[in-house]
Amino acid sequence: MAPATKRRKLKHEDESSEPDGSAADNHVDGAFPSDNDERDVNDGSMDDLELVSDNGSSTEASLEEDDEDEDIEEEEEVAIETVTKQQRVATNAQDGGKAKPHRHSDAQLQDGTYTAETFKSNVFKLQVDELLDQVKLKYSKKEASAENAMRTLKIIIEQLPSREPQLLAGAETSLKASGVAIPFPSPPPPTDVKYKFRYERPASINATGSYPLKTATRSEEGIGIDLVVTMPKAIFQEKDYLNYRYFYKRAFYLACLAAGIKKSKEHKFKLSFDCLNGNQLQPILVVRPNGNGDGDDFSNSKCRIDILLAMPEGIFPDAKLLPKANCIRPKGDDIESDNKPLTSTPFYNSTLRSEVTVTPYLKLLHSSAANCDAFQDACILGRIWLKQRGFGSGLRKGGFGNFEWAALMALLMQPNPGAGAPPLSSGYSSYQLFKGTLQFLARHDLSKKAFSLQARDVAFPKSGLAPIFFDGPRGLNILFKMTTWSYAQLHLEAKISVDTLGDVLFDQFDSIFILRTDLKRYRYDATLELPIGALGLDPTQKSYEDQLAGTCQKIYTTLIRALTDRVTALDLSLRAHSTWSVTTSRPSDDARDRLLINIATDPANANRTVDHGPSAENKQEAASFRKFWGDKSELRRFRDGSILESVVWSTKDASVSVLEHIVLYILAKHVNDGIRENAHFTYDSFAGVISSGRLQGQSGVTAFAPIMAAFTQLEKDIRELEELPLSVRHIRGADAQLRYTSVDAQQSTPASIVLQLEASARWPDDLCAIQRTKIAFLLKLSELLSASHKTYKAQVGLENPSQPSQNQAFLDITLKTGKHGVPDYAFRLRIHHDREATLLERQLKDKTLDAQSRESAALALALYSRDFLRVLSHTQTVQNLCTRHTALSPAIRLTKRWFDSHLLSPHVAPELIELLVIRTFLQPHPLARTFMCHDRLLTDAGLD
Amino acid sequence: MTSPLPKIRKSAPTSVAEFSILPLTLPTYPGLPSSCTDAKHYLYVKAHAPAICTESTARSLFLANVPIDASEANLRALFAEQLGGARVESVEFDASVPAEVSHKHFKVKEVEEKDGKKDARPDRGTKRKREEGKGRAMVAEGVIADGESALPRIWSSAARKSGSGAVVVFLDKASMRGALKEVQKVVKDHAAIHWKGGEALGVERYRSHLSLLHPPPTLLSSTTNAYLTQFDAAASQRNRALAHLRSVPDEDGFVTVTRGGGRSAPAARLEIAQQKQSELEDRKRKKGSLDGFYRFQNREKRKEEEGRLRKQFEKDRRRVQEMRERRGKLRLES
Repeated sequence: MAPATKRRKLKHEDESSEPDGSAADNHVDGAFPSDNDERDVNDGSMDDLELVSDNGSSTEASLEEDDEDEDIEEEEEVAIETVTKQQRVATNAQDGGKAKPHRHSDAQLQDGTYTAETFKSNVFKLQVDELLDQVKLKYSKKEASAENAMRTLKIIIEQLPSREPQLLAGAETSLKASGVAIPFPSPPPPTDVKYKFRYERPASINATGSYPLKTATRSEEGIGIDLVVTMPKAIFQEKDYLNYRYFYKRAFYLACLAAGIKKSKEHKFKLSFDCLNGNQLQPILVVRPNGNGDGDDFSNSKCRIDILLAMPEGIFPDAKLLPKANCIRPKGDDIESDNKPLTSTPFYNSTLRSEVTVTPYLKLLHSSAANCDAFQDACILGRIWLKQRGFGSGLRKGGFGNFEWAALMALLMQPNPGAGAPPLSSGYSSYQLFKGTLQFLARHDLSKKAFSLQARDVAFPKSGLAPIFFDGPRGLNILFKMTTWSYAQLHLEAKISVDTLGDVLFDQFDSIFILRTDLKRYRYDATLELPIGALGLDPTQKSYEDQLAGTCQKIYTTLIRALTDRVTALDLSLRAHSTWSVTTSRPSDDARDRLLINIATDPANANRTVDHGPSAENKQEAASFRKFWGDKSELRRFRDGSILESVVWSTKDASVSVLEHIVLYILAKHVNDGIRENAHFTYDSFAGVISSGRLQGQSGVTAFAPIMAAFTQLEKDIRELEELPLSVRHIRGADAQLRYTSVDAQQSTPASIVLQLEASARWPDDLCAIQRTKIAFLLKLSELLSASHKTYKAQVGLENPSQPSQNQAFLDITLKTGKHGVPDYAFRLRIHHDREATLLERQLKDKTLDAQSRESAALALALYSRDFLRVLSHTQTVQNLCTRHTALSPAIRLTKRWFDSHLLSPHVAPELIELLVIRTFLQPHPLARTFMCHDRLLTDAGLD
Repeated sequence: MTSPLPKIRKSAPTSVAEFSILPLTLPTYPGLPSSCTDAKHYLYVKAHAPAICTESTARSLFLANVPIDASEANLRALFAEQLGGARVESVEFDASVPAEVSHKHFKVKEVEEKDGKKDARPDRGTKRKREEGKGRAMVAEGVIADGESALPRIWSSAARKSGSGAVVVFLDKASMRGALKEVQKVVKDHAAIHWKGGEALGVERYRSHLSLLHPPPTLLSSTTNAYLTQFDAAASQRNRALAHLRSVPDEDGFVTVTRGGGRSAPAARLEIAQQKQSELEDRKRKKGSLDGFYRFQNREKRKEEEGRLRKQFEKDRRRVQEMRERRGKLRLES
């Protein structure tokens, strides 16, 4: 089709909105009249100002998108028209003069009352608006050069001559002549295949993906624009879905395109091959600007054009490509045999299916965007959220990217008979769509229970725990690229974010969208690095990809079974593939490449030394337990009389944690022996910096047990003194050592404690006299204590010599344990008398006092409330938190250590450091909750 | 200020503003590096000229940057032995470690009526002669401890804060002038003046502090008893004075509210006031049940609500604006 006719057709359509023949246009045009109506109504009444304010552009935007469906060229034509229209609108507005500002502010107000319900808060909404404004792609001149290039590519591809059918060898040599190696997937086609490869003109060429959908965002890496070339039906046969035949023909087709573009005399581009989403079955052609500044150079747009291939619908029977079907027949058995059930090949099937459904999904997304105003914004929010969490469509990036997000959201808006109302509605705001999608991800564990939409009686393979979200009308599991662990990660992240959004105190905008959480060091506690070679895999082998996937799955299931509740999350990651030149064949992984296994631990259980298995009477389970653990498993009788299969880990070697023992042992046993020698395990590497920092099968506060015991003993002994003039109300700790947060568990200074006596009217009503009375009291206490217990040595000490109204004295009590190896503990006791606060407050208000005296009263009051009120409640709270969060105490001590070694301790109050660390434990958003101490330190350092 | 580099020392000025700069050669201590053996400390000297003059101003010198171990004794010795033999009456330092005992005082005006009842004990703790009005002797709380009732010292001697000042009062104007002239002469002649340090500094000071920190219980007990006895006497005296104040209206006809008339009187009054306040609010709330009776009330309420929303929105927008200004454009962390 010549460009001229296109243009004419477009105009025609624009004027009359007459439906075209094809299904796509039908659908698209369906949205048209409603849009126009809306505009008419608004123009008439001018009441609903908010809608009007952005309607000018939105109507045109949808107009433009609709055409893109049909043809790329049209899209560009319209884009130009859009620009001129917008300019016109702008000049109109300027002419309109006065009306505009009024409209503007009113619209905002309406926004304000509106957002209260549909957004988390006004602030959140305003920030989201700002964010969207920042990241949205401006469809400007820069991008126009890329669009130009796409038009050129389209013309080149359309003019490529057909190639006669030829056998494999002929195909390879003919392409080799043009300097292109066919990017066959592995395993490569056998040399004796009977079918022939041919090239015909494509059925259609379209732009697809986020760029025409207007959901692309600006990013550092540049933008990828997808150009889909739909292959003609003629080159395929019905049976091509079997045994990679489709993929071989597809690879040949792509190579022909590459050869054609390369051969073009007048247009020069940089070409390379890549795999779509890292899936080696789907090679794609990546076109980059040539950079020589001629008409075809689109370097300034920072774009990359990906030429994808799609399959027309209706060649392969849908039923053959359902997840449970088998499409890769065992060798030498080409005919279906019913003797034994064939193993299903869900990944292969879904990949093939995804080739067929490119256009249907494009239609779905466009119609969703047309029906729901906020759809595109919600897509962008999802995009940002995924990006900050390191998710992508790539197989090695989790398999859940922008397309999956958009498709999931569009599908969740579709009615699903028998499952109640759809989770999302087209009337939702972008925030509601975003949150609703997250809630869906957080609530459904799709790896345990498959979710199918408008599909009945579809069976899913039982093997594996891969998540399934089956889209019935298009017959595809949109999550097929996800692994068990990446899904677990997504599920967890969604849960955290939903929790975060539920926070009513803080808007948490930053932790949802701004902060990055894909740094493995923050997210995980332990890392195991394994060279691929150590797994017994050879990247050059034919079936390497399948083996690798299998091994990863095996490692994951083995570790999950072995580590039970010691871990909260497990993640496997590999370096992503890069593009390769069209002249060479696809490079394979390097055997020295490392598989990273990241482990997030639950500090309370991570280093437990004994694992209990099933009881010996339960024969079947016991046998499976023994089989899993091998000779490590032993039968033990426990204190409660039960006899259980169990596994015991030694902690003799303090440098090797229990976790490391388990991981290495079990992987060597079940995966490959070579792992033990080549693995590199990193875990809690800062633990050695502070005394008893390693949580080896014990809680983080164990080191403080003796001093806490001594304190309890002292309290008991003081309470038992009968001759005290006033009885004791309470004795409380006011020292870092008594809240598990002093750097060293060994005592170097006396631990402050505070004694409060019961109320009495016999205290003098004068601050100075109170201080002296306290001395008398301390003297009495000291006398009584030394008399009643020989183990105590008590001495009254003096402080604040120049401020007679502040606390003047304390009692140093040393508890001599007398036992060998157990150190003495010293406490510094001060008396708290609550009348002091009243007197000081009164002095503050007393007009008869001179200014200096009142100032000193204010200072004294501040000191009083710090030493006798705040520090006490702080100590109490931190004590509780330290027992609740196992890793908190070592984390605080490590952080204090850091402050010490940077000579910052004199400038920062220890309580402040404690609060900083506690904050990261109590408000971990956007990270997950459980951490070992060193990760906390890093997070903290980031905060500072 | 010691300066280890001889080059700088040579070019040190002899005066700045009205101050003459007197270099003092510090004594050498064992263990100091050789570069510090002839370290100098610079003392800034001028005639004392405060904003409010007292009787002794005319015969005083003002010193800035006194050595940390300066004391009345060694300053006296410095002037007597090395700076022309001027005789010092007293020295007043402005920042000591530990600081002078500070008491709370009433405003001078308030106590003026209480005439002739000056506290029997002389004001030994503070030597602020400039400020010493009639009422200064009466402290607002406690009593000024004397030798019997004062707590034992926990530092062997007072040190001065680095760079602090002192006022040296001479016996008469002539000796002050003589001393200042002598200082200027010495500065001009570059004559060496040796500083004779005070009592133990360094580790000795802290060692003694540790032992002084825990005084013998008997001493503590006796001082405490003495203090409390003195306090009882002083308190009744103070109460009498304050009772006088309480009953006499001031020039505006108000009776000064002072403390002491019944222990908890002000507190009780405060409580009554608070109670009244809450009762008033209760009454208001009860009346509020009639809200919404008239249509205009509803209308106004709606308006108010709308206004509130608008205000809130404006406030939020301003907040976001501020946030933007603070951190610049919103940027994704990467």
